[in-house]
Amino acid sequence: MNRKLSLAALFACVALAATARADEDAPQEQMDPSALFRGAQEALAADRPGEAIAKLEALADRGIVDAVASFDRGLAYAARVRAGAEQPGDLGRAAHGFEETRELTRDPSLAADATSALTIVRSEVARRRSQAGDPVEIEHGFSLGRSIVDVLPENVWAVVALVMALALSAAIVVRRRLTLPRAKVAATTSGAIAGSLLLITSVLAWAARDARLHLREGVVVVPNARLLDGRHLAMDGVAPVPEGVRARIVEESAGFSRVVVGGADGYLPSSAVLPIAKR
Amino acid sequence: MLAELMGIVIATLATLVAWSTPALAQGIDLTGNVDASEIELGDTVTYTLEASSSTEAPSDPRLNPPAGFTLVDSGASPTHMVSIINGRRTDKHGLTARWRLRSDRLGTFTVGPASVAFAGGRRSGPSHRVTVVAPGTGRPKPRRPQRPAPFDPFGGGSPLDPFRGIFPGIDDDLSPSDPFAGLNADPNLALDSPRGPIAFLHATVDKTRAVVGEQVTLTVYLYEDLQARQGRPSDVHEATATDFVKRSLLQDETRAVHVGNAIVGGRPWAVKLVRKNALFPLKTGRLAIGPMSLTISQTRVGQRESETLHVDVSEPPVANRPAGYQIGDTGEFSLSATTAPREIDQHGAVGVTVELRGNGNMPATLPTPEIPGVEWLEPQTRDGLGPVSNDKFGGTRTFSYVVRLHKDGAIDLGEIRLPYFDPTTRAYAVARTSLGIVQVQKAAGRDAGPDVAEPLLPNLPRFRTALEGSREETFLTERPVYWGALFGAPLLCVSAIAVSGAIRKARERRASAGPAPSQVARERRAEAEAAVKRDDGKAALAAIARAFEAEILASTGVNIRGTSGDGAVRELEDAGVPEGTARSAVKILSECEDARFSPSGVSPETAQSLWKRTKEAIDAIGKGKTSAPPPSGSGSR
Repeated sequence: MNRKLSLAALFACVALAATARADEDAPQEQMDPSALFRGAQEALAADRPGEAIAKLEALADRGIVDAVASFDRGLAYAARVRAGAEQPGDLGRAAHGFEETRELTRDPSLAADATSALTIVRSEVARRRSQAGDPVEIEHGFSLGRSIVDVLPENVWAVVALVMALALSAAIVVRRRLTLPRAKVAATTSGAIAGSLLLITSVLAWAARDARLHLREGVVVVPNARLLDGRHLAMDGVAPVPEGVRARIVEESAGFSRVVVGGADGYLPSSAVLPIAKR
Repeated sequence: MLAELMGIVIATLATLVAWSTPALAQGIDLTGNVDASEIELGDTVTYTLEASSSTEAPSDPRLNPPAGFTLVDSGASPTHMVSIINGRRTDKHGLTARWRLRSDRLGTFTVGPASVAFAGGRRSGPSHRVTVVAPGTGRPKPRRPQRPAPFDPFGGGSPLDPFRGIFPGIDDDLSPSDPFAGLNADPNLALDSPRGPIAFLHATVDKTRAVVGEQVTLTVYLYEDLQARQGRPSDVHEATATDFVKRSLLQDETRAVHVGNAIVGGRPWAVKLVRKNALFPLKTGRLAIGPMSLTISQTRVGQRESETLHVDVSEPPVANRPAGYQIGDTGEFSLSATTAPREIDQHGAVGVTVELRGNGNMPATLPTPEIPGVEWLEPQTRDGLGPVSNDKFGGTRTFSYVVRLHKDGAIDLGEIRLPYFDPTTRAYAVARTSLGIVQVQKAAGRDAGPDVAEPLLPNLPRFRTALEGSREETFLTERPVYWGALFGAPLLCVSAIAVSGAIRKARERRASAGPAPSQVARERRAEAEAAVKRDDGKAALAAIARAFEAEILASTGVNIRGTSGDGAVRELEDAGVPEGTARSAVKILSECEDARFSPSGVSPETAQSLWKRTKEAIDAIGKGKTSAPPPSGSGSR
């Protein structure tokens, strides 16, 4: 009898230990970003986008800013749409993930994949807007100045400006030292060109720096958001903002964000615009 | 036993007869009293006169208010009672009159007597002494239960009365306990000072810091001055809380519940609970709760408004936040589920009922497991929510799902898990329930199955399996030295060229400029000294002449070389040299000139003699120059 009781107690202890072990696994995954990312991978592979979204969002909550995490998050939202379990804003959040990937990555292939996925998502948004009779312009593009600044990375502008500064300095010295008229003319011409380029490239380098430090952008994650005026009333004559569009965030206050979308300036609820992380 | 009982009855009757004899003799019985013998300045005292007679109805009650009192209001209620005992009719006429007087001065006053008209004359009741003391120094006066207002359209107890129970004296049926009977003040309800006279609203929250979705309990009390008559409220406006989900914690908000008495500003107040709400913050930030207001139709009261309150709301901590947690899922929850039937055919459906139980901000949806071949349809939701224990809002929310199963075999439906933040323990927890396994029999015929939709988002790239990793990126533009080099290099070159040019020009100027006259004079003097020591007299005289001219130039600024004798003297005089000295100097120079060109030559002694005179002249010029006024300048310099 005693032996049976001892065996039963031992079995109970083993069972309890196993239960405790199983309970410990969950906090481990909750705490470890790598485990969260692995879990998200498994969920994506097993076609469980909701679980993948939860884990990738938890990863973002822990302050993990990574281009691949953003890319997979965008794919997870897109997968949920594709699986027919779409929730409002999924397309916008997918676009946000891909935009963030393009902003963060240094890998050209990943940037190309993100661009491709972004095009697919925005095409779907455009298709839906077209069916609803709304304007289908999804990507308003950047201003000319912003486009020029974005042609080269900030450090490249900085190096070019530095080279121009050195060239200008050399031209000044050569013009002073040499006595040959031809050499003086050549030095003067070179100095003028280098000086002009120095001015332009230094302004571009400064603009790139300013954009990096102060420009805040986000993606609209609400379908057909209406731009609001200063009294937070819907603006007349302004088409609804498409989901997934990129917007410049001018300021945020009291639950509303002042945004510029395609030249239109207005307010949106802060929850409707998801800021894009930067490097 | 029976004899004892009869004895008691007879004794009682005898007492009553003896007591009623004086009244019957007078024909009227008059009694009068006041509800307090000591009141505070500004308070009211009520004088009540009761007259009864069996012969004639008393009427026309009158009371002259004493000096120092103002009549606030008065009223009279006649009564007539008929009783028939053993076939004999008895009439009883009565009159009860009340006067409410407000004290305007300190002191002791006599109130009354009041009188009534009776039998062609007037009969007076007793008078009473009332002492008026300073506010805050008096005793709370006892108060008798008031009767319903005779003209109250709701009848004082109508179930249709929307403000039933809010004010004493109007609906005493809801507050049967007399707040004055042994006033027991609750220190938790005490305030420093009243927010208004007679009645005011006071709102509180149980916490001023919360996380999104955490319950904040808003309580609104109505404070009523126990010593003032209360009016009827109207135009009630609820407290606005647009940034919160608002749920009532009271079963019946049309009733105000007396929760105790409080001392506010040294005076007793009755406190009633008007509202108690559970507020669930929807977002972060400093969120405002607007005031509740109501209007009391009474002089000196008017509109009453509670405070505007603020709650600082933040997100729950990120640390240890479980995956899938939705901001706002805050409370204490548990899940249970039932699945039926457990055996179905392929493409059939089972019912899954999930009951969410607990308190807090109940989520509107639950995350359902994602399993291939399992299709969850939109659930039906049924709520059983309300106030639960400890002023918490909660209960049950039931989600009824229809789940279609498109794959055959033993399908594990997985589990539903709800991560939530428990504000009590300030920690995250996960409520979960397992849904079990359903046996799905393969369908014999092909079912249409779910509708095949047009493929959405085709050709998406495949997900990546390795994080890119973060790399610290440095920017040249963040370094001040970069901007210094950028604009400093050209500027440095220009500056260097400019500086070198300036230096070169300075050197050229220095090179082209002659030595100073004093230095030249010293050099020439040394040359002269050396020349006179040699044998060459002519050379010595030439050196002496040059030394003298240089000394004159250095001392006076006058260059007399090439100037005629008188002209040189004038210039020296103009330069402040005395005439004699000037002429002597000119003579020395003339002698030097003459001797140099003399065909006989010049002996060294002559040269030495002349040099001696020259030095004396130099000294004289120097002295004369220092004692004379400065020269006014000369055109021959």
